[in-house]
This record gives sequence, structure tokens and C-alpha cells, in this order.
Amino acid sequence: MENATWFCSTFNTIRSEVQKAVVGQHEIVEAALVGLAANGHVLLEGMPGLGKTLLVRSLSQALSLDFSRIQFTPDMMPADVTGTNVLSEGRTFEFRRGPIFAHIVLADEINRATPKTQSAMLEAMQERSVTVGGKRHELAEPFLVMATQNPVEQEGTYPLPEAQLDRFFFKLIVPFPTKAELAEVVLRTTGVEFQEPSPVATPEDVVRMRRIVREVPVSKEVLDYALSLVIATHPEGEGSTAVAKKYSRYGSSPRGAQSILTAGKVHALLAGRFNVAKEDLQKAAKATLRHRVILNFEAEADGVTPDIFLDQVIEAVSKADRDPIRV
Amino acid sequence: MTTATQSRFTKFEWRVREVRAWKGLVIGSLVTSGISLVWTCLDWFGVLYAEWPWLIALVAVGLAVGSLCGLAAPISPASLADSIDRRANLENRLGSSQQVVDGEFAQAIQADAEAHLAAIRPAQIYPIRLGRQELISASMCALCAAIFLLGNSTMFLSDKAKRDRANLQSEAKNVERVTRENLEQPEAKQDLSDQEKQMANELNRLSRDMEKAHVSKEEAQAKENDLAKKADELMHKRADQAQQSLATAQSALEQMERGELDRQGMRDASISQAQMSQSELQSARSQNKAKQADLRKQLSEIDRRLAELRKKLAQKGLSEAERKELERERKLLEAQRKALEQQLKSAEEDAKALELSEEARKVFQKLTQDPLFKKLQELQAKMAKDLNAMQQGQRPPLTKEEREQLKREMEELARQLKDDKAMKEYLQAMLDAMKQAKGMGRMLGVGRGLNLGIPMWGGGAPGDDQDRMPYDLGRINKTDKPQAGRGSTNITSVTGEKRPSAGPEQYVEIKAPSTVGNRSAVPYVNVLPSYRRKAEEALDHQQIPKDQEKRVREYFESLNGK
Repeated sequence: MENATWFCSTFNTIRSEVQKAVVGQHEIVEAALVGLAANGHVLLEGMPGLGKTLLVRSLSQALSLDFSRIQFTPDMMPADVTGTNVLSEGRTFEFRRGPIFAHIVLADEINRATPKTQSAMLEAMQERSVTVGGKRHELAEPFLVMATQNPVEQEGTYPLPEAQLDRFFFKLIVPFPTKAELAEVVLRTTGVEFQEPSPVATPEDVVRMRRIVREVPVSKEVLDYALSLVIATHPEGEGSTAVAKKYSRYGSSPRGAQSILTAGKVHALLAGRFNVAKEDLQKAAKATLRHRVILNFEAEADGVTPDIFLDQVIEAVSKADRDPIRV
Repeated sequence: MTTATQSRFTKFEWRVREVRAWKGLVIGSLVTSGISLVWTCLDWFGVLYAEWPWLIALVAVGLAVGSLCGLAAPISPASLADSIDRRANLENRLGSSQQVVDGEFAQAIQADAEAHLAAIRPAQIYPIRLGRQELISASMCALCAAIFLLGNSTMFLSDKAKRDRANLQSEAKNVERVTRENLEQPEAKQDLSDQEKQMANELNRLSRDMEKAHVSKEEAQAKENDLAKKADELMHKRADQAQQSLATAQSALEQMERGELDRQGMRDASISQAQMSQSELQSARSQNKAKQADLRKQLSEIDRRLAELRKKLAQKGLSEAERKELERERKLLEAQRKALEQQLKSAEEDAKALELSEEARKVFQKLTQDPLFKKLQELQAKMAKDLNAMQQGQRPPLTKEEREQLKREMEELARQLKDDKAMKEYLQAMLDAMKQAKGMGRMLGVGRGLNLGIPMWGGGAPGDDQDRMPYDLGRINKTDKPQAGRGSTNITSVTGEKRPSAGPEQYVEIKAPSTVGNRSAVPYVNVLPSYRRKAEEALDHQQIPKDQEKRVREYFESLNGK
């Protein structure tokens, strides 16, 4: 119970600290922190200039974490990300760490890199280590990649393959700020004073937060609901929904179920509960599943986006999930 | 789960049972009121009869079964916890608290769930609602009651119609009683033939039709007549079978007697002679002796005359004509002698037989003195008397109890004499006859109960309103033999005597039609249309003999002018 209280308090402190630098974008900030607490990488999709980089940098400052930023370009090589062996003065090869060796890595415009480079990055994300010259190099703990991609400029880009998208815990759509928020952003960035976030947590705190999250129990009904949500995105098989049959080409992978449950745990703790509720899963569903479902042409023709599709899936699953005692 | 949580949880469980019982009650009510509604509609159209206690019982059973099912339906703790979570918006706290027993958050979850559960009352999340289903159910019950009352109540009828209904219902009770007493006794049910079963069904249907006034007075009376006639036919059928059985029994009895004589070595003894009394036998013997003496005397006379004729024929000088005359006389005498000799021989044989009959008589007497045999003969006689009385439509001499006693005695005898084949056959035939007699009794009861050909409704003094009823029914005689259209009818009134003791009593008053020349109880114009209609129906159905059709038509045509 103390841990849960501490978790909430730490989470809120970090959030407040980040929000000092980032104007608005409350949900994105919270989602990024949820990803951090859940030990998952986050893919941010949004127009340029929406504060994605600022968010990541602020987060690292608030957490006293190492931060590195990689601006992906088509000519970037895997070694530019992971690091490479260089010949040292002593005529020996020495591994020079790449930017991936940081607690928080901002992979800016990841879709501009070639698949080869992307895959090197994503391997590091999954394995939490890189292997260069036959030698394995562990990455820092905690390790969080926050990648960004621009949804507009698709020319000359290499969209992330589905298998690689699956490695991301969350995909967050960064919205355009409201007029008031925009005014605040403009005033802050064009003025003299700019408030930088102060460190309010340590890397150990992040590790502790992750451990606490894992302790949160999940009841059978909630687990069943999470699995139902994931299965309902599939166009075939038992548990498939009508909307999935109509619009889905491929449903979410099992990682989707893992992600939604872990995110649900974080949401439960943030709500002051010690157990995961179905509401927590519903809250986490879009961020965890939107990049894991592949819609068909019919969905595109009907203007059904993954978010609309997931809304319909959640509605269908919730409708089917009825009170076991019917009176 | 802590004890306090468990205790609260149990309250929720009981509340769910209560709500389910209510729901079951409503569903049961919906189903049974639906069935009742269909039933009352069928009752309205006379397809299937309904009584208000049956309808109420049906709905009550539906309510009871529904509520019991709801109350007893199993509730799993996990389901209940999940349900409470959903209804009280507890965000899966209770479900998790049930499942999480260890771990860092186990205690916190328990405390959290308990705190939230304490804040809600079972009735809050499981309310007993009065919704659409309840409304439909109540409406159906009300509709059912309305249809039933409209179809069965006399509330909206005129006074005359009410009286008619009351009379019909009273007669329906009579038909029901007749059916119950004669055809629906447990022992009678086993013994009924298919036709009798059909009659029982028709009687029940008629009774219901009358009870519910689904038939008019005329139709009811005609149907009663039909059924009474059918009962009479069935009774005669039973009577024929009973007579056959009695004949078989008689034959078996004779076989027994013959068997007894055979056993005593008197194969040639006559049974009829053996059955003679001592004096009868003595008389027969004396007569035989006298006859023999007479015959011998006649023979000696003929012999003397023949000797004289032979002497005359031996004389010479007789003319041809005289000789021929003597020869003819001689031949005649010889023929007479031969006949007398034969008679004498027969008489001598008779004498021998009579001698033998004496022995047979003794054997037979011994047989008839046997108490068992005597008993059998007594039973047979009683049986025959009973059957005859019933066949003639008279009150049978044996009561029901006596008949039962007779049957028991027969069965006892059958057990004692089961080895004797003829006896067995005899007893079987007697039992069969008895069975038929019982059947006859039942049919007689039905026929009498339905009052074949005699209207028995109503009562009171002639001329009063009730008394008119029997004559206003448009009855027609449907018997095969056409009745003579004239002749006087005597008023016969058979009235049961009132018992001196208190308590319910029954009596039947049978009235004959008005005597010719006396004042009619009903103006004929009131009954004429009904009579004419029935007559026309009878003509159409060719129920009136061909040669009488003209007469019937002329009769009704003659009444038109008056």
C-alpha cells in the first residue's frame, strides 16, 4: 500500500515537473510516463513542432536520466545508432558507444531511416542490448526509446514494418495544441524566461516504479476482458467481432495483450486502486493497440481509422461482456 | 475474504435470490397466464373446457415453480462478485479481492473492497422492479379473467336466459353424476368396452357443454336421447353376451353331470330320467308295466285271430273272393302283430332303462346333494334372474353388493375346483356372465339416468313456468320403430320417498306428456317451430321410414293453417 502511494506520488511529481516545460499535452505526458513506468517504448506520431522532443528531454531532466537524440536520415547506418569498434591508439579495437547507450533515447523521425538501421534500433529496444563485433553490450537500465514519426511527409520515408511497430508499447498521437496552449507555447518560447524541469526522481525510482507495477494483481474477469479485446481485433476465429470481420486485415499480436494489461496496471495505481479494472484496460486500449492492428482497404475506403475501429471493438466487447447474474 | 465481507456478501446473495424469485414469479406468471389466456379463449369457443379453479391453479403453479426456480438457482461467488462490481461500479474490486489472496497488494485490495462494499445496500443494486413484463403478466391475467367471466357468468343475461342456464347446469350435474356413478368408478373403468369408453367421453363432453351453456336446451335434450338410446343398445349387447355365457355355463353343467354318470359306469343312462324324482320314476315304471301287459294282451288277441284265419283258409270250398278277403285280413293282422312286437320290445327296453335310471337317479341325487353343486345351481339361478330382470328394464334383484358377493363366491369355487375342466369352464362362463351383467347394470344406470325418451327436467306443478321446460325442448323420438301416433298416455309419477332423517336426499320425478284431451302445459305455437325444424332434419337425414314421410309432412302442414 505504501508502495502504491509512493508510486502515485512520484508519478504525479514527475508529471508536474514535465508539465512545467511542456504546455498542455496532458494525456501525452501521462501516456509517456505510463510507458516509462510500464517499461515500454513509445512511438509518438504528430506534426513537427508539437513539442515531442521537448517532452522527451523534459522527461529525462525530471528523472535525472541520460538523454540522447538521434535524428534519423536515410543515409544513417546501424553503427551510427549502436556504436562501432574503432582502432585505438594502442592498435586495439575499442567499442565506441552509439547514442543508443542512454536511459532515454529520442529516435526522431525514425521512419526516415532505412529498414536496416531501423531494425538495429528495434533489436536494441527488444533485447535491451547491442552486439557489435561479436560482443554483447548491455544497455542502461532504465532504458526507454521514444520514437517520433511525421504522418504527413511520407516521401522518402521507410514506414516501420508491422513486426517492428509491435515492439512499441504505446503509439501516441500528439494532437495540435488548443489556442490557449498554443499562446502559452508561443509566449514561453519567445520570451526571456524558460523554466527547465528539475530532477525529481532517480533512475532507481523508475526501476522501483516498474517493479511496483508488476505487483498489481489482475482478476480473472479483467484478464479475460483484456484477452477478449485483443482477440476481438482479429477478423477470424472465435471471439472475433463483426467490425473486425469487416475492417480488420490482421489483429493485434499477443504483445498487445501484454501491453494493455501492463498499462492497465499503471492506470489502476494512478486511480488509487490496487487492482486492475476493465475501465483501465479501456483507457489503455487505443494507445496499446492502434499500431498493432492492420486495417483493410474497406476500412480505408470508409474512413475508418484504427482509433475508430478500436472504439467499435471496445463497444462490441463491452456489450458482449454482460453481467453474469441476470435479474 | 474477511468474515465481515463474507457476511455482507451473503446478504447480497440473498438479495439476488429474492430478485430472481421475483423474476421467476413474473416469468412463471407470464407463461401460465399466456396458457390460461389461450385456454379461456378455447373455452369461449367451446373447444377446450376451463374451470376457474383450474385456471387459478395453473397460474399458481406457474408462480410457485417460477419463484422456486429463481430462489434455488445456483449463484457462484465469482459471478456474484463480478455482478456487484458492475452494478455498484466497484471497478473489479470485489472480484479481485476474491481472487487475490497473497502478494503485496492482497491486504490492501481486501480492505478496499470491504470499504466499498460496506457503502452499498443490496437493494440499491438489485432492486425489485415493476416493469413491462410485470405489466404484461398482470394484463394477461386480467384479460383471462375477463374472458372467462364473460363466457361463464350469467351477469349479463336476461332472467329467462339465466333460468335456462341454471336448468342446463342442473341437468349437467345430473349427467355428470350418471357418468361418475356408472362409468367412472375405478373398477368400472377397467371393464369398459371401447364403445362404453366413447360413451363416457361423450357424456362428459355433454355435461361440460351444458355446464358452460355451449349447447341449447334442444340440442342437449336430443343429445341425451341419443346417448340414452346408445346406452340401451349397449345394454342389449351386453345382455346377449351374458345369455351366451349362461348357455355356455349350462352346457358345462350338463357336461359335469354326464361326466359323473360316465364315471359311475352308466353311460347309457338318460340324464332327464336320472333327474326324475322317486315318485316320478315309480310312476313311469308302473306305466311301463301296464303298457307291456296291454301290449301282450293285444298280441295274444292277434295270435288267436290269426289262428282262426288260418283255420278258415285251410277249409275247402271257399270262393276265390272269400279267400282273397281272408288273405288280406291275415296280412293286416300280421302287420299289426309286428308293430305290437316292436312296441313291446321298446317298452321292455324302457323298463330296463328305468331300472338303470333308478341307479342313475341315486348317483345324480348324490351329485345334487353335494353342497358345492347346489351352490353352483343357486348361483346360476340368481344370475339368470338378475339378467332377465335387467333385460326387461326392471330393477335387478341383486344389489351391487350382492353381485360382488356372488362374484367372490364364484371365484372361491373356481379356486376349489380348478382341476375339474368342465367346472372351470362353467365358472369361467358364469364369471363372464357376471361381468356382462355388471356392464348391463352400468348401461341401465346410464339409460335411466339420462331418462330415455322421458323428459325429466324441471319440476313443480303442471302449468308453472318451470314445468313448461320439459315440453319446450323440441324432443324427437329417434328410435327405429315408428311410434303409433295415437292412444292415451297415463300420467305416471314416480317419486322418491323422503327419508325421515335429516341430510341430503335425491329423488327423480318422471312425468309423462300431457294426456290427450287435457290442457297442454305449453301453447303448441311455442314449440311448433322447434318441432318442425327437428322433423325436417329427420326427414333430411332419412331417419323417418319412407312410408311415414308423407304423413309427417301432412301433419305439420295441417298445423300451419291453425
